[in-house]
Amino acid sequence: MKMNKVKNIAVLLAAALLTMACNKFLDKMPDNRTEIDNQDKIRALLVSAYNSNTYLKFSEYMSDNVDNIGDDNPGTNRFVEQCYHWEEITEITNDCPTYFWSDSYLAIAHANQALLAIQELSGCENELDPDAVEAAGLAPEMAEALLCRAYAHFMLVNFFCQNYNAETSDKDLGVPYMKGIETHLNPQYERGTVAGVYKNIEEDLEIALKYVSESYYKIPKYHFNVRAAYAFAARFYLFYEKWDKAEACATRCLGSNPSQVLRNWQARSSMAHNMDVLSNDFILSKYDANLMLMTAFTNFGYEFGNPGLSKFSHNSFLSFTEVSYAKNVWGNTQSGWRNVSTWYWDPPVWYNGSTFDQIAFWKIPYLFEYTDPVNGIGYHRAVFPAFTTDETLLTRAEARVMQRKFDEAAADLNIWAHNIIKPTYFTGDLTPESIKAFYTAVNYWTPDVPTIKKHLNPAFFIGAEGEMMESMLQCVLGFKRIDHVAQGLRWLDIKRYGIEITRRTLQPDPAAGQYDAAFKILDGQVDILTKDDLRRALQIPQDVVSAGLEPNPRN
Amino acid sequence: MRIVKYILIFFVLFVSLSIASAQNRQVTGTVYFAADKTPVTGAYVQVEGSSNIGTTTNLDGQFQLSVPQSAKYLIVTFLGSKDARVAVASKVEVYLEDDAEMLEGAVVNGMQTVDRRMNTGSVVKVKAEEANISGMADISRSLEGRAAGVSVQNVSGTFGTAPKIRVRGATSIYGSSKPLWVVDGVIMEDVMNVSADDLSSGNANTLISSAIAGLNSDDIESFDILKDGSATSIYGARAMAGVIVVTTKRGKAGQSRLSYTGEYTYRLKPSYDTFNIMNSQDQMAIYQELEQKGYLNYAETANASNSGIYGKMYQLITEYDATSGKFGLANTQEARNAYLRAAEFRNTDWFDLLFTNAIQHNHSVSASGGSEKGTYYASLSVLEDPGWSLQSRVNRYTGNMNINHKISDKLTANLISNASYRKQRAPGTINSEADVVSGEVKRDFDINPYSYALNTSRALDPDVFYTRNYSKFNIKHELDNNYIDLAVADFRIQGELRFKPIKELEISALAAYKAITTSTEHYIRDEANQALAYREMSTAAIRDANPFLYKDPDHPYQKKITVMPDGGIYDRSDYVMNGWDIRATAQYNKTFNRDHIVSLFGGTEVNNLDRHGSTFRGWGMQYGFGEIANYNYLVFKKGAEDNSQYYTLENKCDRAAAFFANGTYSYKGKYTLNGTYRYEGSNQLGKSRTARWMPTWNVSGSWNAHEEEFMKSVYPTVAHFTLKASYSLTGDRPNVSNAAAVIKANNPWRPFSSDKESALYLDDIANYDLSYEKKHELNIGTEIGLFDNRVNFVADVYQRNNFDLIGPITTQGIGGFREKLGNVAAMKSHGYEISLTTKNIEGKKFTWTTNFIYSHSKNTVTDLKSKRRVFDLIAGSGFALEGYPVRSLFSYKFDGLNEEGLPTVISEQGVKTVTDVYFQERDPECIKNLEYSGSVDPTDVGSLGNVFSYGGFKLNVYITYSFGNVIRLDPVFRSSYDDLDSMPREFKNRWMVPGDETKTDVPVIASSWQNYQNKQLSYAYNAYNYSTARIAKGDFVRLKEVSLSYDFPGKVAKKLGMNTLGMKVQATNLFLLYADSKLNGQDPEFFNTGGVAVPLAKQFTFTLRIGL
Repeated sequence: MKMNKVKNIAVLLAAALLTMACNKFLDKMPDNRTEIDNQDKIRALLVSAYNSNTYLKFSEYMSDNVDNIGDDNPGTNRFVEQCYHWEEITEITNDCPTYFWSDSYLAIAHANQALLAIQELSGCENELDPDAVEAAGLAPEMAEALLCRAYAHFMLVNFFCQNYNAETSDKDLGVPYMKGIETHLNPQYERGTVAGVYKNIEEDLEIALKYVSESYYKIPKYHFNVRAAYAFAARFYLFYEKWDKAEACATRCLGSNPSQVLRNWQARSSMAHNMDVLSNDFILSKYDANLMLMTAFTNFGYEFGNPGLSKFSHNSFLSFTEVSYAKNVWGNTQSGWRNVSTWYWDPPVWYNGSTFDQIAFWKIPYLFEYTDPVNGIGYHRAVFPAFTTDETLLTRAEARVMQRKFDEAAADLNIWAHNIIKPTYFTGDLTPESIKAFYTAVNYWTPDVPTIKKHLNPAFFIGAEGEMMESMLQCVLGFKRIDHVAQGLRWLDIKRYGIEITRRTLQPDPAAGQYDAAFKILDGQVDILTKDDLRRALQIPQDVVSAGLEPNPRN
Repeated sequence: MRIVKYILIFFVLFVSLSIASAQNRQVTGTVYFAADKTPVTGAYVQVEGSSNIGTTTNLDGQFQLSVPQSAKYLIVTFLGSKDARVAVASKVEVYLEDDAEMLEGAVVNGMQTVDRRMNTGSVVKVKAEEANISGMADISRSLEGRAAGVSVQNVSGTFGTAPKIRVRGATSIYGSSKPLWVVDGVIMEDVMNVSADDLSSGNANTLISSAIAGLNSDDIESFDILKDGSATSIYGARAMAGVIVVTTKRGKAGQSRLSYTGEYTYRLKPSYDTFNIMNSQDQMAIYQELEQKGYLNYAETANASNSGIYGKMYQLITEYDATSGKFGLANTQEARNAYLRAAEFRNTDWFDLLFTNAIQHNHSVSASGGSEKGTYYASLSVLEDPGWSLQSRVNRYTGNMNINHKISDKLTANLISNASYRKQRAPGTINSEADVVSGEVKRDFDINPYSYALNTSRALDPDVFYTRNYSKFNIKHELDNNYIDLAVADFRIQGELRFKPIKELEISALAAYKAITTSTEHYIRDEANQALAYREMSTAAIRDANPFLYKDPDHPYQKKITVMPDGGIYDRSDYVMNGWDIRATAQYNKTFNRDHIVSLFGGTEVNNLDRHGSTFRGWGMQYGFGEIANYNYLVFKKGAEDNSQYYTLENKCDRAAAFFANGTYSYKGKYTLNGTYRYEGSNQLGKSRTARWMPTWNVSGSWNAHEEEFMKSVYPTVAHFTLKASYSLTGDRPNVSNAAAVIKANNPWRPFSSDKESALYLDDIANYDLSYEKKHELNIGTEIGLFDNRVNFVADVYQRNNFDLIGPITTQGIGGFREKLGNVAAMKSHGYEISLTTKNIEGKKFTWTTNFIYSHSKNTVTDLKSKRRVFDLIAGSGFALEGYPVRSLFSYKFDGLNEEGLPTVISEQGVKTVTDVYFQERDPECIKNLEYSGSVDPTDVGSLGNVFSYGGFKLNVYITYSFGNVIRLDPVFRSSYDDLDSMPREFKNRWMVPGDETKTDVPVIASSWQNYQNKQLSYAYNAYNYSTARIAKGDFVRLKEVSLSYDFPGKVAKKLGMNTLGMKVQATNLFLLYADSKLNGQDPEFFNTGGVAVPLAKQFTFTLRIGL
């Protein structure tokens, strides 16, 4: 009996040893894949923690920066129609919300995979311990990973949920906040609340800002460098209604002399007037104004830098009455091409013909990535600045208005405006009073008589209409709209300020002269996006809903 | 073989113990093999009519038996031989003939040899001698129709391209369903894993897709095709799609032979008679219509990227020759008409120009022999194929050695080595790409002779350069200057030691090493169109339009420039595979108390396989200038900006370890019970210790009814009757490997080279739930031999349940991947197989044997949660959809032509439309608006063979057939055509004038105005190409082989100084006896995808066999 036992044990032991040996033999990787087991690999993995499917296109087409210039106009497609009418976007294109959703979470997965490796390499037991990570010399990598994770969630929550506000956000549906890697085939998630997402972002951001460093980046402008991190923080706190923090972060980003780091619009005026030249220049990593660059699969550069899709365009009528070519606070009392085209150092271009009319911006380039150069097959591509100093400066201006620091806000607005307007056309300086005076004299926008002033309905307090605070905000938002047009960020201000949008149709204006807007309003209102319209939160992708995630409510 | 002999010896020993009787007479005798007069050890000798009196022969083939006085005949049986019946005498000599139509015979599964009587699985043995189709260098092709349940589709006939082989149909949705090849006990691996779909792609890598292209068909003894789970379960988690076991020839003791086999093959050139291509006159009429419709005008055509007759005419008109003071062609109506008329009568026969009748010959010499101590078999072969089409030469050399050596009574060694080298040339090709937006599959620079001949206008002058890619092009010139040289060195050595410490036990250890090295060199010489296209900027219009020129982003004002001002392109890819296998097994056989036969088998094996691949593209190789590279730095700048890598490297490793055991118990050989268990691990799932192990098993049983006493009364009317059943679990490695996260490296795209950095990225996130694909299979089979085995009938019925198949699943995407692949899909299949062999006439001189094989298999995907794009479902190779077969083909419903002659279809939205189709639609509701056309895999395949022999003559008529699949017709319709295109004759019936839409389904040639009006007309024509109007049935009956052979009588041969002499004349692939008329001459098996793909030729082979 004993013998048998010994035998059994021996057999079991031998079997165990054999299996162990086999397992070791089988641990060999099947292909050229790798494991994240050192600092360099963590850094390399984080290069992929930035999404490359972007919000630019649907965000721009949902905003009030485009109009319908004729129902018979064939220059359209299903995707743009769905964006423009705030329908559920079911079309799958490079620019669709579905890809933006997936790719944001893919960026998050990369960050989490890196964080897992950081945790293992720094010997943390179950969760990330910043002190241990710092001791292991991996704190900057941790900071980048957390920034990527926070940023991706931040953009997700702002597009797929109602905007943050202090009142309803603890009930509004959020997006799942991923803090670890997914390990099973089809796990089910809870959406949580907008407030919850913001709280998580804040936690990640606070740790990240403490350790962020750009010392190891090979190409810092394609990563969260220190200034980009603060620009993100400034935008985040502004949206989080923490005005003082927003201001402080913006100041950290801009430094003591913001005018030195803004985009050099003057220099662009002396460059060749050519789309490729100017749009390629816009995204050069050497410029201080470009805080962080991201690449994207999109032909956005084509649609907004060319006549593009003609049905829904940033047309002359819109531009002349509300945006770049409209009367504005810095001087001219006239609007339109004849009067305003000379204001800017780098004026947008006007394409018009019998079926198209587009004020085009040579900001985001229209590029191509060849996957097969011989066959000429590849992807439409773009590079765009995720954060610019110009935006951060206006963020600070807004944060200052909210803190009633009107003079300081006006100073920021002056820096921004003097930088893009030629001195001939903007001689003096804006003051809170001059801003208030200008805006009081402008009527509120209506679909029939559009102006640059729209009713603001934010959840936070901005004073009564016509008061100094509201006028200052009108000015900040007007500047932001000019700055952000064709960069996809206007939609976020629409959401935060509850700005209503009316979908109207324009028709060719036979009376228009050579320099006049070629279109006029055909019919007043077709559809209105009200201030608490549920459609302000993009519906989460169809596939994701079918996979079990709770959809956004709809009327 | 040896093991079986011993099993048998013991088996019969116990049986023979029961001999007892009084008035007996002694019989002594010797049993020999009739073929070589060597003694037969272990043959069983019994008295006819009394099964309990018998004995076995000893090592010298001798036996001694006391038989009752009443006994008249002795029956001698031996595995693999026909039974012999001799009259009782005091001294007898018995000669055993080899049993060709084996119902008896050993089952070789590559690891062990099992007595057929104790086999419970579904196995088909095919003797190479019978299957071998002369002049077909790749042996796998000759399995077509030979075994029930095995379908072989020759999707391309090019040497080295594997046919699409399925054993009992598809077993997986995303996996390849390719059977496992085992040669002499060692698993053969493809140097490159080419999926079943890619086999028909025509891409250059298909040339190295056949794992056994390095085997000379003359060296092969037999194939054993293991079909059901019982037969394959010893291979466990790799055998889900069946196993094909190849046994090569061995020497036989006591006979020394030298043989020569020569095959000379003459191939017919394809002929326009069999295809429905327009002649040049009709073709020119179409061009005239094109001209009237606003095409082929000077402005567009003279500078077009591709042009033929008209483009040339315009070029000649503007071409001024200073010396003669004349233009190439006078710009007068008369001169033009004369030029066009000449084209009208040209009727160029491209097939005649691009194909040859050159003789392919294959010579094999083998020597074999041996003694009691050891045997050997050695062979050499040379295949020389000058090529059927231009630039398709093949030379192959093989050497093979197989030595068995008896070191002692207890220890034997087996050494096998096999080497082959192949040199092959093919027309230059680059991989094809599918454009899912417009629905077009295109291959740039295609110069495949076959597809060129089918698709190029017969009005062209074969000696004139026309225009392709803006540059001059002539097919013969291009073939001379643009070709692929392929070299494959294939090498395998293996050694096996067998140790028999006691009678019942045999321990064996096997080690094998194999290596394949391939290099593919694509030469695009200086003057090749593909090289010239990179520097063609003869006019400003061409410079602007030519996509192969480079626009430097750093110099946006500069005109486009060339990155290759000199030379051509040298494109090289290398694939190397080497691997080793080690296996140790033990076999224990014992019979207890006479009746209880027990066989135990167990072992372990470890495999390692490394694959290495590299590619390289050299720009500016000056072939015509001393082969010196003269590259421009802009090539690298452009490459960095495009993110195209000018060289790549890839290493893969495949490791597996397995433990297996098999037990068989049989009661008197009547009732047999069998069980197998295998536990296998692989590194292919990634570094996860939980997912990588997979147990597989099988239980099976059989009943040999003919062994029962009560059956003796009907012997030999019912000479054989066996029933068997098996139930098993086998598996296959999933084609995803993300049990742990898969992290790979890339260079993310950045527009400026100064901003570039390398990255790691998540190729796939972890899936802890990942597992093997699995299959449950129930097989019930019977083998019946009637009328003294003159009618043999084998049938199997099976039901398969494939589960845990890899399929896509749409998740919430929160982990980073919305679309994932996991074990979520399932499918079911069932089928039956019949093979019937009858000896219709069995005279002294004349015999007639008929062999009929039929198999039917059907599968249905039962669970697949995926959203397929319309394009996947309508494209030629089909796709899986829940509720349909695994390779289903769908079509847009064609809804007639409209009043303009444009085709209309019912769109995926369910509305009648011309252009409003969206090939990327995924909505399942929309998919329902497509029509299911059928499966692309045939459901019913088989063959009918008749062999007549008279004396030394043998006539073989072999017909194969295949039914049940559909084929997408070639996509010949387009929204616009140029003057290079050739059109099928159905264009004659095209819509010409309003009202024709009631008469014809062939759409109009759209005018340039129609194209201007509707910019998306290409969608309409592609939807038509993918509509119900463009589906044909794939059914065919093919006269595969007719051969007549003659073996000279021994006397004649002897006189000529030979032992044997034989000749054979064979015609292969003669014609289709039946095919869908819609195919119009297109071969239903063949996919005309260009590149390196050509169909199998119609050929005549003369074979000479000499034995010395």
